[in-house]
Amino acid sequence: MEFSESPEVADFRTEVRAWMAENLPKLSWPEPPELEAKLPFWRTYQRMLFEAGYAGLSWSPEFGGQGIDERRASVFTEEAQSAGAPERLNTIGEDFAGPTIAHFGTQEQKDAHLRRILAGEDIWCQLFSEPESGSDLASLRTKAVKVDGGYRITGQKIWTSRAQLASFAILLARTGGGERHKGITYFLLPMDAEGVTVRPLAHMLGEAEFNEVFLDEVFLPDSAVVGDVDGGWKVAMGTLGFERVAIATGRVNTGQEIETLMSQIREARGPDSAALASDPRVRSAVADLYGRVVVHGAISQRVITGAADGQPPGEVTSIGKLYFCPLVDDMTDFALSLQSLDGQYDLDDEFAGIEEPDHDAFGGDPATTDTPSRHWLRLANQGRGTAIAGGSTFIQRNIVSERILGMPRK
Amino acid sequence: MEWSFSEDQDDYAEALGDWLDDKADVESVRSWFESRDVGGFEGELAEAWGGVGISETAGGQGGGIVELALTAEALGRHAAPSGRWLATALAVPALSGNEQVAGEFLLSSGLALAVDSSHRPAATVGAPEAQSPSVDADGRVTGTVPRVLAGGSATHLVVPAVKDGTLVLRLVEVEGSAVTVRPRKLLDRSREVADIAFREAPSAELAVDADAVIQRADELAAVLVSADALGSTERMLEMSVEYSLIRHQFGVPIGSFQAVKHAAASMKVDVEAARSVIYYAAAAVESGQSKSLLYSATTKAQVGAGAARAADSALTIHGAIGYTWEHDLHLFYKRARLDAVLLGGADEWNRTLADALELDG
Repeated sequence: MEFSESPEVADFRTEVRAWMAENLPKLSWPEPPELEAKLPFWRTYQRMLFEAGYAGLSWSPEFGGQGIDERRASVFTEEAQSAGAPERLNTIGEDFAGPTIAHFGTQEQKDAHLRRILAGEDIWCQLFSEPESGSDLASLRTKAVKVDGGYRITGQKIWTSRAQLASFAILLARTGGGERHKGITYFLLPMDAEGVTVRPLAHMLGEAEFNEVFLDEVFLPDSAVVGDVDGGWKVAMGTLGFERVAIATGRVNTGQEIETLMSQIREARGPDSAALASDPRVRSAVADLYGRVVVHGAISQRVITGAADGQPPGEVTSIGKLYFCPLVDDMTDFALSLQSLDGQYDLDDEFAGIEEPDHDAFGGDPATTDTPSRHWLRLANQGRGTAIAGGSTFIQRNIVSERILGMPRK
Repeated sequence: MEWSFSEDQDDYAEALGDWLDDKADVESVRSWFESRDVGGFEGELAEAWGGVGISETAGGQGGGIVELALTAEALGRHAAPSGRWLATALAVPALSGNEQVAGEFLLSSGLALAVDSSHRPAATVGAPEAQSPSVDADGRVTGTVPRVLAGGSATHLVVPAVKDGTLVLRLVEVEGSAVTVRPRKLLDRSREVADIAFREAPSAELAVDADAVIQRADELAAVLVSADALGSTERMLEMSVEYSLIRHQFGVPIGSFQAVKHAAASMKVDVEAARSVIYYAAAAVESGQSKSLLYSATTKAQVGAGAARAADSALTIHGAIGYTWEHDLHLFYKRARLDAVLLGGADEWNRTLADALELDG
């Protein structure tokens, strides 16, 4: 157990911090809040990363990356987050599609796609889940019928983040050479192909988060297949394997969020105008949440160390997700509970968290979209979504009990 | 931070585990539990492993807090009597500068820190309502300390006392009528506590920074009791899974029911979360991180509560048989339930954490 960073890692951190400090100001801030407006802003940032050699850091140098380990990759992420770097719009491309193509793809596919991903030219989305196939992905029904020179794809995908921005998709469809996972093929799909329709879906707060994608006899050439025909499940499992550190450690920076919460509490007054921080219930809740953030951090360090040491992915991924999701829910719910009506105001209520005579912590300019009140509400909502995505709570418990503890599947 | 054990640490854990499998097999542990006679084992434990985790310059065999935590974890996993071991580990920093004496105590585990084990060590000294003993101009200690861990078997006590308004540490030999020891009987018979009264008891000066030693005791207590809880919780999880595979009802092993699987999965999450933070905190305390108190407090608050939850989950999985004296589960159940509160429970440690976070703007 070594608390201090190795000199190599510490040097890398210093280098990244300096680069962020020097280069982030060159972007035309503020970052636009709406997804489609973010695109040119993000593209500029991605181009800067690409030219500095920071795009696809974990990728093999053969494909334009630096081949760095998970330890240094996590340092980069930490420094970027601390510096307030723009939201990454192409996680599917950089973290899943790219490594999948690098590992399983043909030379032609690597040449066509990898550099464009790193340079920010193509955003990717993931066409796996369907209305009838979520937890049970192997039951998917989108059909790929063999035709001369390729396939005709027909079906419907759902929960597709960023489909409206994406120029390419990783797609699972049924070629049917076997039952369930034995008859699935992995394809690369251009989103501008004829027969592809994208329809936005809103999450519970009414903001567009993801999409349905309809495929109506879309033609894909044989060269769009990744791996073997009917061998797509193995490739898909590979893709999901690349995700493990992210799933285990979570996409929410709980360390940053608890600091934000604590600084808001330090400024706040309670119902009798006493400092909110003198309320024993508040102190106890904050201490418990802070503690859980520390535990989450320790789990993350364990996952990252294990990954960097080349240990096979396994236990800690599902365990990490089961630990981290309730923490986000509880932290956001607690923050909301400090407002009137537990913060259950619609996003367009002009006064939520701002005109709180008893709780003046939550200030902010109602004209901006991300007041503290809206921030906690959006995070609370996002937390519920994250707990469901990528294997819901009950599925993760099944995985832990069956694959780790060896309890019977049936 | 690098979260991994060295090869030496893995070897140590394995060697100690093998020794405990042999010397503290569950039948022996049961017999000591039922007879309340733990002295023989505790003596052997001290002789064999007493100096591990204490640096050689401090009279030990080498190693640090990670090794102490590995020891605590293994002892908890076996529900092996270990009150003397823990009491000595908390008290021995008070003998800094006296490594020969320290070394002897490590190998006899006859030393104990005279603090009320229902609170974190620092809670019983210095605070306005604390009942620290006092020491007079002739070095005689007077006062009472309830629930001293291993108080019933200690030969010597490190006593936090107030002298002319300042906290000092005094070494008291437990002999004669000046020191009265009243043992208490705990549900978890693998540890014991005693109420101790001092009536002008002669004592020797301990020339150490008393506040620093008590702070160290705080952090050690938090990490080591948590590590003990980790061991016993993990053992209860193993027992629960094993039972669920053997026990058949409705024509199937009960482990095939999703509710049972999910209960076991939640226990596993608690176990791995505990393991992650215990050794994280141990490394922080060892390397003198500025946030080590925050991490120690977190560890004790989180792990203790998780262990108590897991104990009840294990009991539910076992059903009626787990509820009996005859079954071994209660040995570990009581171990975990005591660990949740020994040397401070979640509420107290969270109060410590809230204070340290400086929430008052």
